[in-house]
Amino acid sequence: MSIAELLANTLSADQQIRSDAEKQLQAFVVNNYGQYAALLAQELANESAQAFIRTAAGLALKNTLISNEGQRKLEFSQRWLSLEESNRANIRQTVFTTLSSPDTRTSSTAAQVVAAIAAIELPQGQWPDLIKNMLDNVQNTDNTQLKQATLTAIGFVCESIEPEILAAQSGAILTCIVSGARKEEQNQEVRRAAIVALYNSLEFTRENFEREGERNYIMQIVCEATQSTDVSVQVSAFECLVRIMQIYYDKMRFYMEKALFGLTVFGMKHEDERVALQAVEFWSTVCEEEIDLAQEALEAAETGDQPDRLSHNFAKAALPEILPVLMWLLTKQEEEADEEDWNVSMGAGTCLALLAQCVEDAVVGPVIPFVENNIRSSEWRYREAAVMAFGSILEGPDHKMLANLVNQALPVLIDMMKDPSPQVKDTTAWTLGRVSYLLIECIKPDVHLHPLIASLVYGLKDSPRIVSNCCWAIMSLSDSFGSSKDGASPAYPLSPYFEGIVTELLTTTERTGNESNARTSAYECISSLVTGAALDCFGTIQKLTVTIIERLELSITQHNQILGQDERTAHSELQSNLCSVLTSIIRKLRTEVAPFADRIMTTLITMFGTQHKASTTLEDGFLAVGAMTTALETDFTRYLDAFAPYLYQALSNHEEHQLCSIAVGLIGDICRALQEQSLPYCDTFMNVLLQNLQSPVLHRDVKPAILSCFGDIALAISGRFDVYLEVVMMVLSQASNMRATENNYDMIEYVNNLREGILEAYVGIVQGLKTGEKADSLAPYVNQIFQFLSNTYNDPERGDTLIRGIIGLLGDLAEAFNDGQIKAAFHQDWVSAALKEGRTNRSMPGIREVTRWAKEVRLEE
Amino acid sequence: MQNSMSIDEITEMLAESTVSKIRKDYRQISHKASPLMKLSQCETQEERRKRALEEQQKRRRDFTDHARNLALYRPSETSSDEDLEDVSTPVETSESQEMMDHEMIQFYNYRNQIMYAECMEDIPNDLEVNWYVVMCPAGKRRLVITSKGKTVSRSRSGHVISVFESVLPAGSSVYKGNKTNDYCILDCIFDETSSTYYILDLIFYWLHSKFAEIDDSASTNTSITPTVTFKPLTIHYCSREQLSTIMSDLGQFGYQPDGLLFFNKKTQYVIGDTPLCGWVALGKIFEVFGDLGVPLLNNEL
Repeated sequence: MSIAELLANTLSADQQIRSDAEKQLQAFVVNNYGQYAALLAQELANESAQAFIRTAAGLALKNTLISNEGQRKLEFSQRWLSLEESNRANIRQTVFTTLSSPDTRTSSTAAQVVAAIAAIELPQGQWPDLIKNMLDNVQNTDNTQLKQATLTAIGFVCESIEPEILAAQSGAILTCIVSGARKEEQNQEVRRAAIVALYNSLEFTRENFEREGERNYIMQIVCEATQSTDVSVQVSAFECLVRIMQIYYDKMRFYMEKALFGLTVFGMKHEDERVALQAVEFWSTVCEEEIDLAQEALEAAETGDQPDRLSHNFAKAALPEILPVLMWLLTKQEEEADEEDWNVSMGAGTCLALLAQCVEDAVVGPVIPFVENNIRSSEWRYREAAVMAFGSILEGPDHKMLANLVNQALPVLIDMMKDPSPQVKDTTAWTLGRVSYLLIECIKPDVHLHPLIASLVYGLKDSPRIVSNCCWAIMSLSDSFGSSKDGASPAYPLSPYFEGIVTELLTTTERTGNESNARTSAYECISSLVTGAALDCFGTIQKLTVTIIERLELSITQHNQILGQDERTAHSELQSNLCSVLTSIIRKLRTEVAPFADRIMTTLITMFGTQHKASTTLEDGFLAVGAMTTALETDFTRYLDAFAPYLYQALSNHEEHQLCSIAVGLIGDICRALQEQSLPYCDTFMNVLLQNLQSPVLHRDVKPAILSCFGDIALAISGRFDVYLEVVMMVLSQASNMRATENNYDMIEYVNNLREGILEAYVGIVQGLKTGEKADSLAPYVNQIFQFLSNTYNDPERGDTLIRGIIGLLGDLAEAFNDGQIKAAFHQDWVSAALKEGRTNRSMPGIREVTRWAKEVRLEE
Repeated sequence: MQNSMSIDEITEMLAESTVSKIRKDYRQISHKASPLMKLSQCETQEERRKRALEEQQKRRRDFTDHARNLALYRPSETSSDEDLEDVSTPVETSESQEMMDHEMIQFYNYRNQIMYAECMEDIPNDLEVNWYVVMCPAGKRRLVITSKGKTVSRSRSGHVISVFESVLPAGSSVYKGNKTNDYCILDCIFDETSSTYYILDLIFYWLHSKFAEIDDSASTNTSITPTVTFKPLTIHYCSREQLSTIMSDLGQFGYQPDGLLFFNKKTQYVIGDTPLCGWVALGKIFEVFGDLGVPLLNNEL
């Protein structure tokens, strides 16, 4: 079969034919790549072949050359370069010539292939005449097809190659692009291709942009292109402006004043939506930049520095002009809003929200009349625009400015949850979510809460998007009015509604599907309500516990009926959600969970038995078990034997490092709960943990958790820990030797985490042995510990939180050796410095107490 | 290998501007979307892991701080931290306050040992002279701390179990003494069946002499949890007669007995010395002490 036929078959409607063809082609790649590539190139160039075959050939060739994945990209590159130069030269020539094909699809594909080959060869210093030949095509021919295809190719090449490689030729490339982009170019297709190429070259032509003369010229070209008669050219030109604003904001003052302000405002009013969208996007970009710059200025002011870059305050200056246009654009909604669509009304909404964050209070004044005048309009578009405008400005301006508006608008918005237009309802739900999240203090419980909750609960019966937004709003209310702190209050503002909301949420979760994350949102919302609940809600929570357990039991029985990957994922997600709610319940009920304990643990353990070794459901189940240990304390013992096998299995699964970490943490929880009753299990725990440390496959993030866990075990079994002391101390000593290479921030963060783990291990061991009257056993290791402390304290990259652990450990050591045996060690200079740092630290909670205690203890000797 | 595509798809793909698509997707995800809508399964999972880790770290920290008795070192409104500049200059508190703090600290170091009493298998030689004994109730070990008008009950791992108001000094909003500076920390056993905290601490008696009288009849204030009572445990000397009296009637206590806790009268602890306290579970008392002259028929153990 010829290559053409194989390619044709890959597009066949018949699954079998497609699959066979793909296999054959794949074999071809593996067995004789050189010939394969050559044949594909020939097919691409074949003027008598059908267009779709030629395109398929080109794309197939391209796909053997590029990849998003780093390792594969390297392999492809090496494979190509290993072909003989003559072969490659032929292919290059063939593909390059195809740029002149009259068939646009083919020439565009050829452009992509040229760029793909260039991306490999140019960095190796090969294909040196590529750029020159491309320039030739553009400047020295009249063939507009060729020009267009070549310019497109230039754009792709610029996009995919590191700037340094082409730096020497950047001038030539830019000249070439500009010659195709300027207004003198008659052919608009060529012009458009040039503008797109310009867009792609923006990053790599930085140096040219730095030079005022060249920059002026480029900006002139782009601005003129925005006035082209061809709308596609205009659109591409505006896209360029957006990108330029993103990359070269600092240099834009002059151009903004001269031209950009006028033409973008004008562009926003353009009758072609595509142009308007880009003009709006331009201002969104400006706002984003200025928000970042304001943040930088704030941070600089805190340390008394000057910021590196300054804002030009374009948005503030343009506000009187662009704000009315944006609000007008808000009313240009599509009749049927499809989630896939992006239209100018949506773009305007986004821009308005960014504008509010950027100019803050200044945005409120003009928007209020727009909202007031339109919110009760008989036309749905105006109502929706009014709500959208209101919702968009809630973040940025000072709350005091908004308070009045919110107060007036809230009752109206609550009513609009029943609006006949689905779009209006959707926007209203989102806005109520924003109000609850951003301006909770404006919601007066005795005035607003009842109608608000009623409308949100009503919204839970609506479309998935609305459900999601309502859940968000309810969660915000719960977070604000509820308290997750220990010692719940007897009642709270949500008490009267608690049962009603939970019931409705449960009903919502029973609707199939998780569109817009609606079902997950509902479960998260239930978790949130449980976490913040007051004591008078406990009755409902207990009933909820039964429901959740029942659903979990049901999901376990359904496990065998699942077919297909999609169903499996959905099922796993459901179980995860249920476990997550269960965990919140257990954490809240604590000792009162006892009546349900048997059933919960039985269900969880059964669930573990059905799980694939590496599922996130296992993680969530383990978290629930963790919560149980804290709630039941020593009463957890009776479940441990049944649960332990799953724990060990997870611990031995070194590849799933997240699950491993959680399992390690769970050992710590079990020890804290069982205290000395965990002793019978400690040998196994220690063995597993030590084995894990030695595994070459284990992700390094698990290591700090393991070290902390040693501390947990020592605290639980106190003096009995001394049988493990020697090996653990050796492990800690080795871990202490880990150093980060300079400027490698990932590594630095890791080393800090590791040291936190080492500290926790030492603290646990010292406290544990002291309690168990075995502090003497520590004497041989005191030097090692002080060495570690000294190194950690003096490390310039020391993480902020480590100081607390360091001081705590000093105190623990002083208490353990309170006969003055190690007095000398405390007189090292760094110790006083550390204590001083702890005493004067105003931001870390608890640090001053630890410091006072440590000083007191240290000086007692 | 390239995925199979229709001609239309190919044409469309080539015609579409790749330029603005990425930006549009980026904008679209956030448009009118609650944070919940945007979360992928991965991100939700990440959130849960983070929360769980924070909870764990908090529990670990509670535990280790607890063992250090940090409650004593919480800065009150009256003292300032600048006082700790140089420890040789005296802290600006009254002399009696200073002395009290120091005594308290010693007591608490001592109490730590009591928390982790080891099982006593051999009777110390000086039992009758240097030791006290208490019959411990069955129940959950709790540390009760009062300060600033609130009473907090914690588990042995430091985890807070409940917060309420009680008749203890500084434990309620109607406390007549100095709510800010007064506080107490009591080692207790909580009997769920009778909602009673049985106080294990010797410190309780020392408190009586230092603080305002504990008003047991202060029940007019409804914020004080009416159902929770605090009862001291009776402390005995360890003569054979005493032990015999204790063991002769296990129903005499008003609670279910769990075992005997022995306290050494010494308050300073030095490493290597004899232990400060010992525990003998109910079922082992006769094993350790002999029959104590108590007829077995009266006592089913």
